[in-house]
Amino acid sequence: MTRRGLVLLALLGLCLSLPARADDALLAQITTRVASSPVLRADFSQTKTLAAMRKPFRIAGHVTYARDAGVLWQVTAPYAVTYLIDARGAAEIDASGQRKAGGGGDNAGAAQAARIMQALLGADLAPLQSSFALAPIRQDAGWQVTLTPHRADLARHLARIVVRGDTAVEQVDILEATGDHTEIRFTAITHDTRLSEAEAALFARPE
Amino acid sequence: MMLRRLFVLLGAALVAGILTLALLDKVPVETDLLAMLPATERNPAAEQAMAHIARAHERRIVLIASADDAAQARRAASTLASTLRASAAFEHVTLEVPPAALDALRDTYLPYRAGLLAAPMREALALNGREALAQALYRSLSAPLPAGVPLDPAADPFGTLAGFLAELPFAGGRFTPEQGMLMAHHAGRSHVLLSAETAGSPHATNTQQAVVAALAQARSDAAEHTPDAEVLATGLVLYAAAAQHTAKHEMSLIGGVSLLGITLLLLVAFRSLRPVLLGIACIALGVAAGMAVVLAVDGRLHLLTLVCGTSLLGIAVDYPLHYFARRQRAGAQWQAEAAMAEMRPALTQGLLTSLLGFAALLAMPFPGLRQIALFSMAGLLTAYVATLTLLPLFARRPARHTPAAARRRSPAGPLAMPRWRRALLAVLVIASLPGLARLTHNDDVRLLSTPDPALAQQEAAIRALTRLDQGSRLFLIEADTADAVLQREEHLTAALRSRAPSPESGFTAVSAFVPSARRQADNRQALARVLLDDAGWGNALLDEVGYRPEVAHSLSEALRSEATLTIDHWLAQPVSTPYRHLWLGATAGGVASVITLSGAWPADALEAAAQAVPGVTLLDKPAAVSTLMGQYRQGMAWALACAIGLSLLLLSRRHGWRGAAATLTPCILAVALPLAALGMLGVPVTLFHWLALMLVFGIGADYGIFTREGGAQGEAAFGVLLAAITTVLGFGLLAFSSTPAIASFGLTLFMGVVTAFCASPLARADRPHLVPAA
Repeated sequence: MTRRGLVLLALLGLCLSLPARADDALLAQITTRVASSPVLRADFSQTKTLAAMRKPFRIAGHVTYARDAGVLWQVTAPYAVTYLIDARGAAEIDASGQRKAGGGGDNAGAAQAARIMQALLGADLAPLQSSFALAPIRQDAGWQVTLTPHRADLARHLARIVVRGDTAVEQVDILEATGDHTEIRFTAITHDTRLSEAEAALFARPE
Repeated sequence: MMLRRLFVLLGAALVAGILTLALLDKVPVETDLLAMLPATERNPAAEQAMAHIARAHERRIVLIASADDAAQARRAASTLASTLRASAAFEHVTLEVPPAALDALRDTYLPYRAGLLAAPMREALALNGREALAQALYRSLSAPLPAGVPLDPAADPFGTLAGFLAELPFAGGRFTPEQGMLMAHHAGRSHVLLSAETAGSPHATNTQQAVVAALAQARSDAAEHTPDAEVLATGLVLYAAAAQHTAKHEMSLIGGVSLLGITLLLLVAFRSLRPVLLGIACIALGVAAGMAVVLAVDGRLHLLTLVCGTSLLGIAVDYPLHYFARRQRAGAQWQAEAAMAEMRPALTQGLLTSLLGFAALLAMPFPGLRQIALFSMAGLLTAYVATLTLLPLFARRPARHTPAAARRRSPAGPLAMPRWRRALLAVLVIASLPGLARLTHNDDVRLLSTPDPALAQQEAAIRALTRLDQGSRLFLIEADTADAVLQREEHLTAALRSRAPSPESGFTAVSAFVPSARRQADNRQALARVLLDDAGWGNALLDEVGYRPEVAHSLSEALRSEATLTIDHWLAQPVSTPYRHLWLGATAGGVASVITLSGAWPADALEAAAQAVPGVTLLDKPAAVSTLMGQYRQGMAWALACAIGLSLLLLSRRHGWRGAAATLTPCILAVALPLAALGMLGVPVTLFHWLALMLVFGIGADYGIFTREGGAQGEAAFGVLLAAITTVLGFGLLAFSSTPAIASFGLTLFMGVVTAFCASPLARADRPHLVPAA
């Protein structure tokens, strides 16, 4: 390659990196906007569209996101089950708030998945850049970010994740490499400054 | 002429000494005190299992890189791995987890999914089948996070295989594959797991040196690139290297100081270099002969033998000492041959009693004690022969410096025994009797080693994060067929699970990876009973949720097929690599496997579990060793009693019964008083105290014999004094060793030798003895 070719290539690289900086700014804006409330509560409706299924499978429930503690994921229909997701992974908890054994547990990458989940719900996406290429855009009143895994171990199973929202995350779409699709919509979103006592007690699960 | 011969001898001694020192660095020194013990198991399969697991463990080294920041921990781990890979000391350095590892796991188990159930699922299925499966179906669809091993929901709609895979006892414990490395996040810190194997045997000195150097290099590289990361490492080779280092350091320090002390003492006493050089030559020859014999017989020298070897200095030097003391006293009337002839009976008796003591050790089925006995017998015999042959040759002429000290002291001497001293000794003996009654024992195996505290701390931190198994306690499972072994394992693991004292108390069993054929058939049946009942409940549920008919169809097919995961198939898969050592396979009595334990397990829980299942043996090396140490402690006490009895018999031929009793009095007191002191102080008596008492017996007998043979006026007192001081220099210093076994050995010897010395005048004949010198 000639010297001029190299210079051109360098310039091209520079141009390509410019939008990336704009992306960083937009990501920061999104995070700030969502992070203004430390606690979010919402109803959710999750639709799984699997190749193995002839109709989509829906579940509904209630989610509580606490920026500093984790996520309380309460499924109410068609079957009641509650999960607690924090830095250590996901644990199933029973009606009295006790942690159940064998509910996904702390093992097998759960902690990593839990961190991705928390980052998605809190729209704190910048830390995910080590695993995903992030493509944010402004959309209507809000924003949308497409996350494409650039790590081989993730890309084997995950095609991409799309997060959409405004002052809170409103929809997450998970597209698996097999074509299976999980869509989670959040409605009736309320912002709060702190957890209720009952919620705080659930989050304080023993080590 | 004389001078030239002396130089030849000195040259030879010098060369022997240098060779000994040089060899000490090359000689394989065994530091694992457990290696001194005999096989603990009567069952050959058990002994084989123990050795097999020990081999699997001994080369392993586990490292963890930790930091507050995950990226920092990963970088530190990469640096460690690349430095260790570049070193020849390590092989199989494992850090990266291939992305396909989880797929390999899935592919191994997927064909047999209908027969694989985790314990909680199996129990739930037995209690309320429909409810359990309906819950499992909804849960696997509503779980907010994906399962650890990616499974197609069509292949595992009820999540039963996912549950089975999640329960597999992976050695990583909290560690899971994350971005291609095994990572764990705990208490705000991120950890990355690495493992490696030493290229050579961890017992070899050069392996230890290479490993320690490579690890230090890796640590410093990591510290340079990632200053905030912390590196923890554990492995048998690190403990062995630390123990070897401490032992050699102590041996050269203690040996050096005692040699220096002895040299100075002899110089002051004889004011001539000749006795010093000849004395040291006798010692060097003795130690060299002991080492040579042990190496020829056992191939390796044990640390404890080396300790006794150093202390052999203290006994071996006694023979030339008595010769020179006599020469000093004789002054101008000295006649070497006559003097030696006169001394020979005393020397011979002293040697014989010492050999008798050690021969008692030699008779025991205890490799460690046998080695010590072998070393000491060869060493003493050589020193005796050297004294008898070399000294008259090289020290013919009378001492130049006349007898000032020796002569003045010897008649009354410091050892003359006035009445008040006898009374004091009697009081002491009576006062010590309650001490003897209060003797307690301790046979704890931990006396044998004090692991380096820094290493122990790192090991504890690593154990808290991983499921590192204990190599010292395990279960052996035996049966006629492979499947019977797996079935017995299943009964045993159920018994263990119900007795586990904490969630951290785990175990690793092959049957967790490969359920027995019977268990797999039971599982298939239990699932089929609920899913494929007459009403077609399972199919209806799958249809209601929305699964295509093919899903239900393929599940029914799988349940009806008899596809069974076999141990042979599993052993051939790459996923079994880290666990293959648990399967011993065909043995003389059938088929066998082992189950290893991790975390804390009380001994009674393990014993109860072992007794609940036939064909199961609990192999508890520490407990077995403690029992053995107790047995040998008792054996030593009997051996000592026998040696005293035999010596009495031997000496009575020359001195009569009363004389023999008097001659042995110092030696009996020297054995009894330290024991009484230990009883009074409440210090539990261990095998090593008895080992020391065995030597004390030999020394005490020597003092008694020399005193008696030396004449009624205590002419031998000067020689005995010198001998006592040199012995204390040789042994007393061992009390400062950091190994409890060696320290108690040294302390006991110190007390015994001082007692023997103080009591030696008791052995003196009341009137000049009638038996003329032979």
